[in-house]
Amino acid sequence: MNFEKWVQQPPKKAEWVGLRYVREKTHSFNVKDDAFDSYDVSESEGVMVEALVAGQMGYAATSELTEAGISKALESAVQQADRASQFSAFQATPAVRPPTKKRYQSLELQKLQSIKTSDVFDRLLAISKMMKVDSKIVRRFSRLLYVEVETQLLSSSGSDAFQRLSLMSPDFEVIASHSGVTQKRSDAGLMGRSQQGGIEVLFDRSIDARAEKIAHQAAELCSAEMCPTLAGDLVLMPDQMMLQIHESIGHPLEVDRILGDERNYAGWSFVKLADFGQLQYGSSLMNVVFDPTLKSEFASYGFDDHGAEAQKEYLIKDGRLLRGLGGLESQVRSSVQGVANSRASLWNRPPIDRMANLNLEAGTTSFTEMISKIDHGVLMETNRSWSIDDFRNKFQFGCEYAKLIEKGKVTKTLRNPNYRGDTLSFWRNLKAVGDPSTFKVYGTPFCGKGEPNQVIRVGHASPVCHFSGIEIFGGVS
Amino acid sequence: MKSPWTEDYLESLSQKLLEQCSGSETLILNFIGESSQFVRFNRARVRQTGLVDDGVLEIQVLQKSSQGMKKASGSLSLRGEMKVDLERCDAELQRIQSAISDLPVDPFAELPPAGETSRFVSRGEILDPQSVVGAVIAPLQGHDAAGLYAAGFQFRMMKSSTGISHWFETENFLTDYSLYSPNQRAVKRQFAGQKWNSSQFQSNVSQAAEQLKLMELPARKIPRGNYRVYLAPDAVAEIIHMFSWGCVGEMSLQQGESPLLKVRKGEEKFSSHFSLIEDFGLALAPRFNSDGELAPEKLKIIDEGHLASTLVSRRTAKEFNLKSTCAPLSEGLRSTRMMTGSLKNDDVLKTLGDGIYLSNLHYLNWSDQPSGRITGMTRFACLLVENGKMVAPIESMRFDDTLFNLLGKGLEAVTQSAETIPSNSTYGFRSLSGVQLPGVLVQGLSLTL
Repeated sequence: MNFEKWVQQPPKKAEWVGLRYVREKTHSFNVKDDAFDSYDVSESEGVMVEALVAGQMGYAATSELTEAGISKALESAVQQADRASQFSAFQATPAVRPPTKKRYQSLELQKLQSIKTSDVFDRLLAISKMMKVDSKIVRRFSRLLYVEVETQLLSSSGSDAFQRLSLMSPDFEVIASHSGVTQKRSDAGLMGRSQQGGIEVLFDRSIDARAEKIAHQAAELCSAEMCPTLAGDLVLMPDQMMLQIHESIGHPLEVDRILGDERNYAGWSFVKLADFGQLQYGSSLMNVVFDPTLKSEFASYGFDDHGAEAQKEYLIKDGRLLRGLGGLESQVRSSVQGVANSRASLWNRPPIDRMANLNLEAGTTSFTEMISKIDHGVLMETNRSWSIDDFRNKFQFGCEYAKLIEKGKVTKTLRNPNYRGDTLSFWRNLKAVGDPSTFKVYGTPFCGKGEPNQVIRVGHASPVCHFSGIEIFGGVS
Repeated sequence: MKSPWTEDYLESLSQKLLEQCSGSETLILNFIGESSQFVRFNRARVRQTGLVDDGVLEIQVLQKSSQGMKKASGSLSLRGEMKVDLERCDAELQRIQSAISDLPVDPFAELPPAGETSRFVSRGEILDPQSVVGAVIAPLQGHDAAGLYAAGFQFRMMKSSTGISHWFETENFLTDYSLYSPNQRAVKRQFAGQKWNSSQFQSNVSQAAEQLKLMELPARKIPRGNYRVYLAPDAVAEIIHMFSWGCVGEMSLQQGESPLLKVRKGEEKFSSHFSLIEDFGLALAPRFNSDGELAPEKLKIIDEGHLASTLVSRRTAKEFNLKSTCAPLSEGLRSTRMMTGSLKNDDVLKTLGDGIYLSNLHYLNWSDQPSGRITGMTRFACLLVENGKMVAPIESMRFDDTLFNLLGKGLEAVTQSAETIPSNSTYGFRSLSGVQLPGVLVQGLSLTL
């Protein structure tokens, strides 16, 4: 459908109008144990029409992609903006929707459509079979989520941009049970292996070894000792750092949270607007970037849903807080430097400040050297539980798998590991950051936020990290 | 507010699609749709405002083959124009029919039950979209308010070529908001229903503002330890919500993850004060699931501390040779009621004596799922109670405790009256679910950070 005519002649009352078309097609393949579980293809397609009237944006989103449907949406958007303008949260101008003509496409070596559906199931069934390594394994899951997203931005100020994302989430998980102990092990947790790419991602042979490894570890956990209670050294592998970065750096730095938009739902932030450029967030080893430009990382893109072009920015450098996760609207409202992160989950939700790829840069410490300096501590891997307060201070996270560290060596396996702490003191106790050999890139489709609610994709990359003075404990004895 | 989705339109589209079902196939159609208005506000000013018309039809094909049953599904957004929607649905059906032959057999696929029908239509008197800002935002002036007004039509439909036909349509509103004091303390409220009443909304806001005055007192920092607490219905709702997350679903018991396995084995038990039922008489959610099964009006889950039933989907029932309890595939709670007790609501503070009043909990997660241990935070109006009086708000605290303490040995009393709390979830679509819960008095809640 040709959408251009709807933005070329905006209604008289509107200073600006824009249209965001999104078509998202999700292919979901699921195998359980040695059998087919489900195969679904779902497509969501619609537009969000926005209008700016007297400094207030209004929107109307519809799947009615007909002349009548879009005409009605445009009229509704104008009315919504007009009625709300007497109580605007801020005076918007067309500058918060910059014109862009950018094009972006995910790197996709091989399209899903180039192979048969049965080839995908054969591969998933083969991987599931690889996880059948022990009689303690009671359940195996082998899944693939492949999502194609096309976005087109058009506006009365000249936007005509297009991007096509190809998103792969291969996911493998086992449940083991023995003598009354049940343990789950997954390949990075929370669909953490999500990345951009084509079907070649599923046929990456490194999956085979990982699948077998997590299955062996699940069985091993059934007879492992409970994680001890101690206050001491904690080593987090990159797939747990993904969660740690997300919850205790990403969300507190979202400028719309700091401004209070999210107070009624996910919460506020301990970070104040005055903290940018001032606050020592963590130790000097801490360097965090917002980088939507990495080709294969999950949340890469060319422009955000307000039309701001994506670029890499340091949020924290040498431990000091520099910049917020705020899109163009938040930048106007807060006068804090931000990034291109106004993102919506789909055509039917308005963009808000989101993380994209949020990465902790590698340091200089090798894994061996890091462990050798620890007398008594715990190494944890893969998130399984997460909870943090509404100001993003007090957190408690749990992991699937842990190892005891004794006198500079990794020794026994531990089950039900948990740790808790307070965000700033935790990051200020960052003692060592792994070198590039320990750096891993992850991503997940599951970040929830906003009213109305939106779940969105994020990417996180990190090396192995060492923290000191952390409360560590296990499960119910 | 008008909607492009009507029962007649969906009926007509469905009939034309179902007519195309061939001999070896069974066709199942599920529709989810809404026409909603969302007004998000912060500091009593409009942050974002808009309308959403969204309708998705899922087409599922079950095909008998010589090896067994095969199953595939596809869904697409509807456009509200019959000719176009029919062409697009036809194309999707053909794609599914073509793909299904290439799929492995589904060992747990089952044909839908024959011929059940239901129809529920409940129209409301909600605000016209043009008058919402005046009716919702204007009364909040003078307060630091944040939240969301969400309202409109919600639709669910299930039809099959085996003669099943279910339709659910409701029109309602939910204003979910919180008020803030200058010292960043807050109270949270919901104002929900099917008939907007401005004076009732004004009264709801005034009551919240009155409670907020208490929150302006200097907060007390309390040490870690075990505390006697009163959990108000909103706080209880957070705990009951955990039952839907790998707990009350039969699959999670069969896989060994659910803490209810310990109850089934007799290793743990709940208090005799604790009874939980699925009760569709609350009219918060459709009784039918996507397989077309119509759930019983009432299903006892926990009966005076005993595990009476779990939520069993048709698929789980087939896999483990059990009887379905007509649960959705997710095996989560949809319309849940906790039975009330004997504690008079007016006596809550007096009975608590010295302890903590917790209005809300936040961000719960399992910290040891098979053992039923949960962690989470206190949030909003949480106050220290001394000699039966609220004396000061507390600094937010983390708890880490088991279901078997909170609803088992630690459960002292349950209030005489309950509150109905519709779900405020709006992921994808506005949720159709909710709970009706009393408050509870609990001994020894473990506060850990």
